[in-house]
Amino acid sequence: MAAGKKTKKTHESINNRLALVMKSGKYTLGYKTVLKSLRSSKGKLIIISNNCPPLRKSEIEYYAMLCKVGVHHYNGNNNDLGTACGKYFRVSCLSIVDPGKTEF
Amino acid sequence: MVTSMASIFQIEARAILEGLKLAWMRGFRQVEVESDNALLINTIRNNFATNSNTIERFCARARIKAAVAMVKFLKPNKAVIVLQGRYAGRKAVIVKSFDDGTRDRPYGHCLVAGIKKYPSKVILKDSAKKTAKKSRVKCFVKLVNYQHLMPTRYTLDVDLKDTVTVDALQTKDKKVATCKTIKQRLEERFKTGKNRWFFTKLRF
Repeated sequence: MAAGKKTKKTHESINNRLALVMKSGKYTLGYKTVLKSLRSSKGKLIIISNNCPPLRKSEIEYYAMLCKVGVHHYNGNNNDLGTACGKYFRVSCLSIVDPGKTEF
Repeated sequence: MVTSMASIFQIEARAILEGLKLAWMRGFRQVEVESDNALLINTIRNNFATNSNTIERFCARARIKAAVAMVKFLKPNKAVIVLQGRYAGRKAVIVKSFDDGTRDRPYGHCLVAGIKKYPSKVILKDSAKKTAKKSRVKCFVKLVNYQHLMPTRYTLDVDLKDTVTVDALQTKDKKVATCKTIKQRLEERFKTGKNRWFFTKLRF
């Protein structure tokens, strides 16, 4: 779950790790697929942007609580999260299915 | 105090197994294991080309524990809330889940038994006849897509597996008969006063 104040250094490291997952691992982007990955217990980590609507955020957190999967509140809005994933669209929530070469 | 005797290899393997169990209990699903026993490390890495049955068992268990696995929660006896359809907002319990779907329904779905009409509030002042009337529950059986359910953290362990089956949904009279048995079981559960959350109407 989110820590207090994210320093710039850890923020960059999350971005680096995300970039590595995008390259080498498996992930799904978007609310519907995130819920799907949680239902089938395939997700390993959920990342939610900070401007995700609060009802949706609570719903994802509830599902994640049920299947004991970690949720990371990304320090940035959906535009930033999309950029961090290397995509040209916004991403409000994403689920990492297989971390590939990252360790977390 | 000497509890047992074993070789160093076995003891180290046992220690790794216990450490992995501890990590598993704490919720860690990907762990890095360090040991100073080169033989043990090589054994685990080379898929236990070992010389003993017990050592192999320890290593195998250790390896299986280290594999990442998540908790499935859409299981029988889970209380869910139906989100779409005629029974939207009603609470139901999963009787049987089909994660990979069937040929008719190629998506994850489950068979739920739910409450169509909740029992009303029973107060102390009511006579026995009134209590009986107020504790009536009307039920439904339905196959619902996972997407149209909201799982909750509650469970309801009522044994419905024998009566509620998919072929109960084929014909109307089978469905009615199944609903009658569900009604009986749910009513007696309501009367015991357990699972109170399940029998209260969700206000929205």
